[in-house]
Amino acid sequence: MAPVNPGGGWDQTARLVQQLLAVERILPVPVEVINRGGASGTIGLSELIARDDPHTIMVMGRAMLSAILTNQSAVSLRDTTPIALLLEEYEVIAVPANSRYQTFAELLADFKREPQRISWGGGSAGGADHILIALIAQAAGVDPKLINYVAYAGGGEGAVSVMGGNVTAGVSGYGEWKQYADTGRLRFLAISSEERPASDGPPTIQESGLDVVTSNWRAIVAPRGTDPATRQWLTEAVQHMRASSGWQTALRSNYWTDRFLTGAELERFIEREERADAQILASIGLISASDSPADYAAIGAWVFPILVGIGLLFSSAAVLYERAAYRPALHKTDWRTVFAACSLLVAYVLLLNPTGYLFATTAFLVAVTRLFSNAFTIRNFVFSAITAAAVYALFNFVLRIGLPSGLIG
Amino acid sequence: MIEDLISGFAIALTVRGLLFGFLGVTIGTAIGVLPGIGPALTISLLLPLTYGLDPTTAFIMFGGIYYGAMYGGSTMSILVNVPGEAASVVTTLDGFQMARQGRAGAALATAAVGSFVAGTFATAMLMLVAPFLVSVALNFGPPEYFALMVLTLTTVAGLGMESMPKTMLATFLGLGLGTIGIESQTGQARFTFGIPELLGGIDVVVAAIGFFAIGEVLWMAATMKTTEVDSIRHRGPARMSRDDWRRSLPSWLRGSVAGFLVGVLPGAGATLATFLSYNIERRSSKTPEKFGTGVIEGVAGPEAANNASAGGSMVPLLALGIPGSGTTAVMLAAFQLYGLRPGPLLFSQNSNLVWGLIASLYISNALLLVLNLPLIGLWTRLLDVPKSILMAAILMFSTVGAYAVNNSIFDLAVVLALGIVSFLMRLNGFPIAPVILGIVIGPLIEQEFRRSMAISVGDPTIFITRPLAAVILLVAGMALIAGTRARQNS
Repeated sequence: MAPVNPGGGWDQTARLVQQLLAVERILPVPVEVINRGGASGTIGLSELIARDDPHTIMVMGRAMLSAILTNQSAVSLRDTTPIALLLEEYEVIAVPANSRYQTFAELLADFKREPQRISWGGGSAGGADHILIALIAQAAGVDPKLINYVAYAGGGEGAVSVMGGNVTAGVSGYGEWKQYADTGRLRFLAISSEERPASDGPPTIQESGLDVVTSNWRAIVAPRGTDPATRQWLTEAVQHMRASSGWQTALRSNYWTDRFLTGAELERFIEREERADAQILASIGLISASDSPADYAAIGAWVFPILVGIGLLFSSAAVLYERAAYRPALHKTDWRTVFAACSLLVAYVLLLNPTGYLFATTAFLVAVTRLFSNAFTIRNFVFSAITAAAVYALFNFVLRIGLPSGLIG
Repeated sequence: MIEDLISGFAIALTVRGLLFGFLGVTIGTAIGVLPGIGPALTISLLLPLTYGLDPTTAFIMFGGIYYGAMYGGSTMSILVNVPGEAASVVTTLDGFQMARQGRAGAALATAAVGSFVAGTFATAMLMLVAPFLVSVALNFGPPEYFALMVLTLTTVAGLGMESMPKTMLATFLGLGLGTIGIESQTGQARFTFGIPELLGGIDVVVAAIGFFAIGEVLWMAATMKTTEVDSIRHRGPARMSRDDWRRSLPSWLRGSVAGFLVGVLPGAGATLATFLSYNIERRSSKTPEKFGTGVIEGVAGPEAANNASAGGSMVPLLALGIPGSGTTAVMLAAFQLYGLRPGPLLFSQNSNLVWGLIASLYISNALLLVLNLPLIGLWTRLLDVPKSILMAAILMFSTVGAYAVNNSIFDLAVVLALGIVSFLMRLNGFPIAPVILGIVIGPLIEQEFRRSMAISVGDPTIFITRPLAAVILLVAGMALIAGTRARQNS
C-alpha cells in the first residue's frame, strides 16, 4: 500500500519495491501497489490497521509522523509492526538563481534580523521541510513560531515557486532538486547532512556554525497483528531487495542515502524520531490549536470558511427575496418513485459489504429496472445478473480493485 | 527539429507502436466514458504490466489513455447528462440539450473532431514553444494563480439560464463543500466531525457522480410518469452539418489556445480550462443568451479545451519534471521506474524518447479520431435502450466508479447524500455545474490567497502591484460586470 495518490513520493517508492520484488523474483507471490491517498498518509494508515492483514504492508515516511501528531490522529505507528527502514534523503536549502543571497550565512543573517521577511517554500505543513527550518530557527535563536512558511503539495510545486522567485528560499530533498541546481535554475546554499555530498556540492548547515543535521526517511511497516514468523519472512524479502543491483542503482540515481534498519533497532529509531518531531512541531505551534503559528497573512484556517458561510447566508436571503417576487411553474413531482429510488440506493449501500457486490448489485438492478418499467421481465433479470457479474469480474480480475465479495468470499 | 521529429515518427510508427497506441486510446475512451475511473488511476493500474515494454511504447500507450479519457468524458455528458470526468461537467450544459433536440450525433462529432484539433495543436505547441512557456509558467506565482481562480469563478455569472441568486448559492455551496478536510497551509482539519474518511476532503469525482448521475436518476424517477413525451428518444444523424462545421471551427481553435495555456500552469487543471473556455465562447457569440439551450459552440470549445489542457500539462512534465495534473504525476512516476528523470536534462540525454513521445502524441490523436468517429453512430443508439435498463446501468457504473476512487463504502454514502441534495436543487431551479466548479476551485483559491499574503507578509497590494495578477483581476472584474448586465437585459 502506498498511502498517497498515484505519483506521490511514497507511491514511487512502493512501485520501485514492487518492481524489484517482481524482477528479482524475491517473493513467490505477485505484489500489487494499492493507493490510499489523503491526510499525509493517515487515511492509508487507518486502513492498514483496520485490515490487519499481514499480506498488506505499507510504505511510509517522516511526514506521516508529523501528520499523526498534528491531526491528533486516532491511529499511530504503535499500531503497526515496523519491517525495515529503506533510505534517508538529506534536505537542501535553495534560492532562485538570481537571488541576492550567495551563501547560507547571508540568508541566515537576514532571517535572524527579520524572520518574517524570509518566506520559505516547502512540502506539507509540519513535514520534514518545515521541521528543518524550525531546527535552524531554534539553533539560531529565532522563535520557530515566527517562520513564514508557504506549504506546497510536493517538491515539484515547491521548486516552481522557488525558481519563479515567489518565495525567498525553498527546502526539499537533495535528489529531488539536484537537476534544477545542475541546470542553473536554483542555487543550493546548504545541505542538512554531516558531510558534503560531493566535494563541489553544497556546504553543510553545520559549516555555518549551526548544529543541525536531519534527514527525511522512508520505511515499510506491517499491521500490528503480524506474527514473528511473517515479520521475519518480510524482513528477509526486503533485505534481499536491498542487496539487489536494481535497488543500489535506484539509490544512486535518486541521490538517496543507504540506511537500513530492522527489528528492535528500527522501533527505537521511530520512537526517537517521534519524540523529536513532537517537540519541534510543538515549538512551531502546529500541535495544539490554541497555540498556533504566527500567520503573517492574518488569514487563519477559519477565515475562508467564514467568508463562504456569509456568502451562503447572503445568497440564501437573495433567493428567498426573489421567490417572494415570482414563483416558477414546477413540474408535477412523483414523490413516491423518488422515495422508492432513494430507499433502494440506501439499501444497496448498506447491503454491499455484508452480502457482497455480486448479490447486492444483482438485486439492486432488478429492483431499479422494476421501478422504472413497472414490470419484472426476464430480460431485466438477465441484464441485471450478467452486468453485475461482468463488472465484478472486470474490477476484481482485470483492474484488481477489490469489490466486496461478501457471501461468496 | 524537423529531423528530430522524423526520427521520432520512425520510433513511434512501428506496428508495435501503433498497436499499443490503439490499445491506449481504446482504454482511454472506455474509462473516459465510465464515471469515476480516470486516466491517473488507469495508468497506475497498468504500470506493472508495462515493465516488460520499452519506455517509448509504454508512453505511446499512456499518451493515448490520457487523450482518450479527455475525449471519452464528453460522451455520457452529452447522451445522459452524466459527465465521465469533472472536466466534462461544462459539456452537459449544452451537450445534453443538443441530445434532447436529436442532435447527439453532431455534439459527439464536434467533441471528437475538437479533441483531435486541440490535441494536435497542443502537441505542436509542446514541440515548438515548450522552453519559452516554461519561463512564463515560472512567473505565475500565487497572486497570479489567485487572480486566475477569481476569473474562473466569475464565469458562473454566465453559466446556464438560472437566476443569479440561485447560481450564487450553488457556487457558495460548492466552495463550502471544498473546505471539508485538512487545509493545506497549516494542516488543520475542518468540518470533518471526527470522521477519518473526511480528512482527505470530498473528492471532486465523487461529488460529480453524486450531483450528476444520482441527481439525474432521481430526476427521471420524479418526472417519468408525468412527462408523456420521452424527449431524448430521437437520435438524429451521426454527423455535423455544414453549419455545425462553420460554427465549431473557431470554437475549437479558441478552446485549444485557452486549454493549452491553462494546462501549462501546474496549479490550474483541466476543469478550470473548460469553464474558462465556455465563458470565452459565450462572450464571442452574437447570441450569448442561447447558451444552455443546446448551442454547438458550448460543446466544441470546452471539449477542445480539456484535450488541449492535457497536452499543455506535458510541457512542465517534460521540460521541468513537474506534474501539472494527476495523470502527469503518474507518468512522472513511470518515467522514474524506467530510470529516466524528466526535466531540463531529458531533452539532451534522451532525445530519442522525447521525440518518440511527441510523435506518438500526434499518432494517438489521429487514432482517437479514427476510433471514435465510427463509434458515434453506435453511441447514439444508446438512446434507444429502454429507460429502465439505462437508469440501472447509470446507477451501476456510477456507484462502482465512486467506490473505485478510494475503495470506500463511505464515499457511496456521500454520493447518495449529494445526489439527494442535487435533486432538491434541480426541483427548485438551482444550477448544478457551479457546485462542481466551487468544489474544484475553493481549496485552490484559498490556498493561493493565503500563500500570496504570506509572501507579501500580509500586504494585500501584492495583487495589484504584480502586473500580470492585476491585469487578470481587471479582466475578471469586467467579465463580472458584463455578465450581470447581460443577465439584467435578458
